Amino acid sequence: MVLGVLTALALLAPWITPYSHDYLDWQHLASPPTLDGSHWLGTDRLGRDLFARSMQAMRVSLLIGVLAALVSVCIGVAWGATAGYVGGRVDAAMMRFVDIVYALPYVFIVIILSTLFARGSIAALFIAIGAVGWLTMARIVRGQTLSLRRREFIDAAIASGVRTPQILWRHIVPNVAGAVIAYATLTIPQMILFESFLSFLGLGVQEPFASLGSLINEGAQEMESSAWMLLVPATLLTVLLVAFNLLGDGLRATLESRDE
Amino acid sequence: MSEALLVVDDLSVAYGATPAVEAVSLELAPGRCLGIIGESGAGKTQAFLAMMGLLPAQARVAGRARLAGVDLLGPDAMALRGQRIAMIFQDPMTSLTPHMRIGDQVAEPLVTHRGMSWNDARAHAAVLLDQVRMNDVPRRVRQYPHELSGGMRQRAMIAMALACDPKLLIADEPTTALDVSVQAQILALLRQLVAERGMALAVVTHDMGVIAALADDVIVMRQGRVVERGPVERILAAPEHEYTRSLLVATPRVDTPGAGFAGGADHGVTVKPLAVRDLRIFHRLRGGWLRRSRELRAVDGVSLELAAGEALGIVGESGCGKSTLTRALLRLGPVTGGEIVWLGRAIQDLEGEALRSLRAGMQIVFQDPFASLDPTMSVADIVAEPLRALRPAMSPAQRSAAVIDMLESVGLGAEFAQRRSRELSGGQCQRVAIARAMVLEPRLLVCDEVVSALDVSIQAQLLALFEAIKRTHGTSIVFVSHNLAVVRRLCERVLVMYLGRVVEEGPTEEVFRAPRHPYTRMLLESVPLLDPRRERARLATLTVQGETPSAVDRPSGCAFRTRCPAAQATCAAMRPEPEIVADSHQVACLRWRQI
Repeated sequence: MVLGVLTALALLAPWITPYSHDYLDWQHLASPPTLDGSHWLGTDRLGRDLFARSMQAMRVSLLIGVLAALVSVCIGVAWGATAGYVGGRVDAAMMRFVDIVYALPYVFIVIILSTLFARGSIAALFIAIGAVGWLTMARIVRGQTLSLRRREFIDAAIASGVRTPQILWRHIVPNVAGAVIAYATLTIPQMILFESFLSFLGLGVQEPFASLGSLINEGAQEMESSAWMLLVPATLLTVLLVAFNLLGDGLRATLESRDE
Repeated sequence: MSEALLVVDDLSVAYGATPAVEAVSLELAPGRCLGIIGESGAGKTQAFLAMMGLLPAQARVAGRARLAGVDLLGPDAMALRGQRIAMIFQDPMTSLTPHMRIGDQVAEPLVTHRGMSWNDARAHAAVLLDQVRMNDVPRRVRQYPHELSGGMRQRAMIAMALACDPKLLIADEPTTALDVSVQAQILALLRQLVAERGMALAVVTHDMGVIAALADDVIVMRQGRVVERGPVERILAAPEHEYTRSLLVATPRVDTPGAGFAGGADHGVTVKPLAVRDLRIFHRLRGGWLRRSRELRAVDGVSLELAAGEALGIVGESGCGKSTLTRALLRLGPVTGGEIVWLGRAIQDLEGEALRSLRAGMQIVFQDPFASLDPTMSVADIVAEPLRALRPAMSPAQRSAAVIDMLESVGLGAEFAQRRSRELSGGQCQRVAIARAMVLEPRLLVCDEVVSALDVSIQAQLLALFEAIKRTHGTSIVFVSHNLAVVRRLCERVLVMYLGRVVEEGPTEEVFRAPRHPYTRMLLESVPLLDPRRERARLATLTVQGETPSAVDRPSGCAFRTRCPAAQATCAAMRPEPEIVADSHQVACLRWRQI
């Protein structure tokens, strides 16, 4: 529910507010939130409307969260299902690779990656965040696949002459889908948080665009004089994350009870 | 008949609006045994769980149940449970706490209910374990549940139940999870205990054999209601209710010839489609630090042949390698050595497409009807899958027509096509699995314990279906089962396995009438008979003993010698090779001529 409202607001914001995220209103520099209809959530140091900027930032955050989760689902499911199904040495090699990538200090890698690419390139952010997100997914899918592999319907499919890729696609993937969806919903907030963290460090989305992280960063600098600049994006981020986490937990609970 | 110990009057259990048990009344006197028989969903277990106060909170219980005058459904009942009434369950593994030593588990109720000290309780536990004929008690009390075999675990459960000298013992499917030779021993033990202690025993079971072995009086339940009651001799010999009669007819008997014998396949001199020579399947068990890795010989030199339209039964107790063997026949499992010849071609080393193209001719149906169907797929998709994989030329319309035809021929209407496995019963699931296997019209159908998980009436229907498949399609069937009676009903030939080796093979009737191998004799002797008088005489003079050793610690020479009544020194030194007894009847025993 909350999530639906937030997403709708984020997407429809350009039509709701007369201001665009990069319009500088010289009459209202750093003005506090008002209800008189001009700047609902106030403006920042440069007179940009905070509502417009927050909504634009949320679009970026949602986009990155969802896309990065998608990337991690695609790689993670393919990798985990293959490793779990084929088993043996292939499995050992594939999972050792995952362990190695896990062991890398990925925050630094992402930081290096995003400095190497053009600063603020959203595509580079996707790749960077997606590349670390799939590791846990691969482990989860592999675990599920291992237990499915021992079920008799897989043997029945082999005995029916179904080819291995078909077995993976028709039997393994639909049966791990529940766990994958639940976990993916839980990854989205992680991804959003990670992106915000990068943007907070100044490595993510660049001006004039904003993400919730960079807004919080800006707000933090003005915290003592104009608290709303910090409170607005910080509240939005918190609500968004809580909403996603609740959705993920709810999904997992429903899917688990269905399995019983 | 003495004063009744347990009096149940008009007992009902309901979940919401769904009744599980309706107006059940019964009486049970000390020293008597009451058998409650019915198929799954009959409410037989629910009724006794209600008396034990073990039902979930949402169950509504009505009626009266009194044990020696105390209301079992009232507030005073707590004090009785575990002391005056005790219960033993079907699965001894899940009913024992995995991390406690056997001795402590048996001692625990003595400490809690009788206020004994742990030392006294442990000493008394050893006495109890001795009373349930546990062998080697001083070692057993220090072991954990996973170190015990199924039969020994069930004995430990019984010892726990006896700990507080209960007046009433409730046994819920006490032998269902056990091998037949172990079942016979547990049944004999229960009979002795009832006679020695003057307890009342209530046995809940789906198995007429158990009823014949134990019960004095019988209650037949169906869909929560009692349909018939009476003394066991009358119920088994002259059942009045139609349902009781149908149960008895559906129960396959080990002591009557089956239909498979009458028909038989017209072999002629044609080449047999399947031949297995000296098949060996070994698993390497990884040793730990400073421990040698060991070899588990799951299948050790098995040879067999199967004619077109013939049904071959493979029997043996758990761990004899029968499932490993069948999986290897279809190349679903590994093969260490030997040869599998299918239609004149050795297939044990085939891989990839060459192997895949053979799959159309050989299909398998598994034991667990739910695990063998993909829960995310519809019935139509499941049955269509082999066609999709191996008949790519078929159009979707032809395919769905073939699927509907197939579903109808296994007795499921077209209305099942869009359902999923969780909407089906066990028997219906198994029919879907059979439809999937038969849709390619294979020449060989392998059935791995396909009816073991099903009620007898469903079992009988499926056996009839297999007979029809054999007759109309000329399909060869390999039928793996631990249930000798089922094999006798369906199969022309039978092969008996013990610890990975064939001990006897021959025409079913000959093997069942005149078994040559002592293990075959023991198996046959272990099956409960449906005649109470003969059955009790059998249990009183039971010679069956011991349990199958682990395949890792295989005895030298003849593997069966450790349990064989006729074993001699030579049996430990020499491994018996199959010898011809009569036309196509072989036995692997060094002393078959003498015994």
